[in-house]
Amino acid sequence: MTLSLSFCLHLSAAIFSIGVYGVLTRSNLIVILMSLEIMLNAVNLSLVAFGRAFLTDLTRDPSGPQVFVIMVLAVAAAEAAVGLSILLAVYRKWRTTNAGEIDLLKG
Amino acid sequence: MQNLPAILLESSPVSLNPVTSTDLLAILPVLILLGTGAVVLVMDLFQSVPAGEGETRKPVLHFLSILGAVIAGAQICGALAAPDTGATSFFRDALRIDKFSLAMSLLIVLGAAFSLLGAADTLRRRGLEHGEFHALILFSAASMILFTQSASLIMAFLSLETLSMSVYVLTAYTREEKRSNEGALKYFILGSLSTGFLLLGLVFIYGATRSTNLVEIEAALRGGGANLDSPLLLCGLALTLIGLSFKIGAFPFHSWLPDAYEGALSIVTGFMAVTVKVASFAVLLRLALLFGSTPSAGTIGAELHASLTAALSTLAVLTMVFGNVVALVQRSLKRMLAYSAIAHTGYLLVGVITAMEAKRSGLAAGTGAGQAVLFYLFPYALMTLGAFTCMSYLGRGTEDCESLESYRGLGRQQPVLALGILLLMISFAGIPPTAGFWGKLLIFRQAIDTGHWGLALTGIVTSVVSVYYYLSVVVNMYMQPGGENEPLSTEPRTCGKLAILLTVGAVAIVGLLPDTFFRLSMAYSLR
Repeated sequence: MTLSLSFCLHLSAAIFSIGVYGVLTRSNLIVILMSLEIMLNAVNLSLVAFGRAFLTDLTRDPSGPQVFVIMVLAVAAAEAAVGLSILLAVYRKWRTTNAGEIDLLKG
Repeated sequence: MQNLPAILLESSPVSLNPVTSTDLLAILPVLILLGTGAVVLVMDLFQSVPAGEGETRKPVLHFLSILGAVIAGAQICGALAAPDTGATSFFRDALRIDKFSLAMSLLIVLGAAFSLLGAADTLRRRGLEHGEFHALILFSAASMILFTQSASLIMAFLSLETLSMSVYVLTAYTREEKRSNEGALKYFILGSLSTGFLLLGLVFIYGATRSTNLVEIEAALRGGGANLDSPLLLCGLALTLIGLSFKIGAFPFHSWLPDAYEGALSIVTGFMAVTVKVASFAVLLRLALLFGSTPSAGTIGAELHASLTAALSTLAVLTMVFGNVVALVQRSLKRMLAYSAIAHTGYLLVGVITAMEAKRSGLAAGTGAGQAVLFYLFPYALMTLGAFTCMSYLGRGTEDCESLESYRGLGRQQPVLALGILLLMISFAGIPPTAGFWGKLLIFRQAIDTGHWGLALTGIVTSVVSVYYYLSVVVNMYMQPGGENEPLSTEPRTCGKLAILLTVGAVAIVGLLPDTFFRLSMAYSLR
């Protein structure tokens, strides 16, 4: 059984939406970081799907989507590192990982 | 296996072009910035810690990093002055360097240099002189230059991410302060969310056009979109637009901006207000012209043009109204300037829409699109840098001079500086004959010329509203008694003084000689 491109894209969009929902609604900062990672991985899924679909296109270099996936993975790792260090700095001063309690800046 | 293309089965399918010296020469300014950043970072390890209070402890760091930025700026100026040979591609079409991207790069390097100059005093005052600060400013400036020059979707994504990450960390630089932590956290979460949208958008565009290269995408559009998946392309474009709207702080996607601007050091706020906006608008303008103005054989061109115009117009109107109205009620100058930055994003979006129209209706020979955006961004960058440098220049101890009340009586205590702030504020408000006025005039004029009366009218009315809050600073400086304010301490603040003098002077010059700068922005506009 082969999965169609359209199926993969819809699945990827669904996972992406789960990530966005998590970022917007959860209050635990660790869970928000996890949701951000889910979003990037959902994008990777659609890249892989495109990579499979492009294999039949003889005019293009088929390695394009794979290269893109590797780049996204690298960026996701760097982003997690920066995010966790900011989170650590926040936790040291605020003693909380609840986004709702961090509310000094308003207006 | 039988449906694998022949290219995979052959022994050496892709010719691997090595990086040539031409490629490296083309990105020399970027290499200089990166090299200086690395040197400064390592050098910081060998600097001995403090002599005494009140003297620059690490003058070498400031000097070296500013020198690096100035040399990179001189390189870019040299390339700008060279005769125009059109756009040239480097690194197997990953980068595309033309006069427009060079002009935008110059603005970015200018922003970095002035921020480093203004930061010398404020970092010393707070005991925060570390090499990381200079390195991060230089690294983010380097990635912004690559972002404005990127001609491939992958390159654009990578450089946007490296620049964003540097700026997240810069926002969190004063890590002992709760406000700074909070601002950085909000900036990081919403910035990464926008990155997700942008990335999904770019991937959808890639999937629809089957290419990451902007030139090939344009060719695919010109071809009438025979094999274009139009819902996928529209979806991708919408997601990309949302992602970029976060970065420029357009209205429904602005919520991180006031908090990040307030939490960061004033000098960092000035840096990111200028450079992130310049770099994002350079790419937004390029993408808008590519997707909104490419004539195509089929209906796809008209369809894209209509949707992009509608989306950008809505964003522009909402952003102009929201930014100006909310700025009216702010009690902190820093937060007020943050909302005014949102308002200016709205005016610049009008510039992008008119550029799209101009390009679509056919450009006269020798002219380009987007000169209004360029002409607006140059004085805007100088004004913003000047205003935020003043804020940190006037700071006492670990505090920057942020509340409007703290400017009371400044006209008497510091008459020359107050005059400078007065010029910056009336230029922000767009009162003739200042630099800000000419920029707005050109944008609204072009909006009327291309038939966007509604946009021009909204822009003019909201500009009039903005005069109120900009002048409230002036009222506080000159017409309020300044009893409770203690005078500035006597620490040397030469670098800050120099930065303010240069920015204010440049704003005054642009205001007096608009013709010269208009001709320059025409010459450097996007072909």
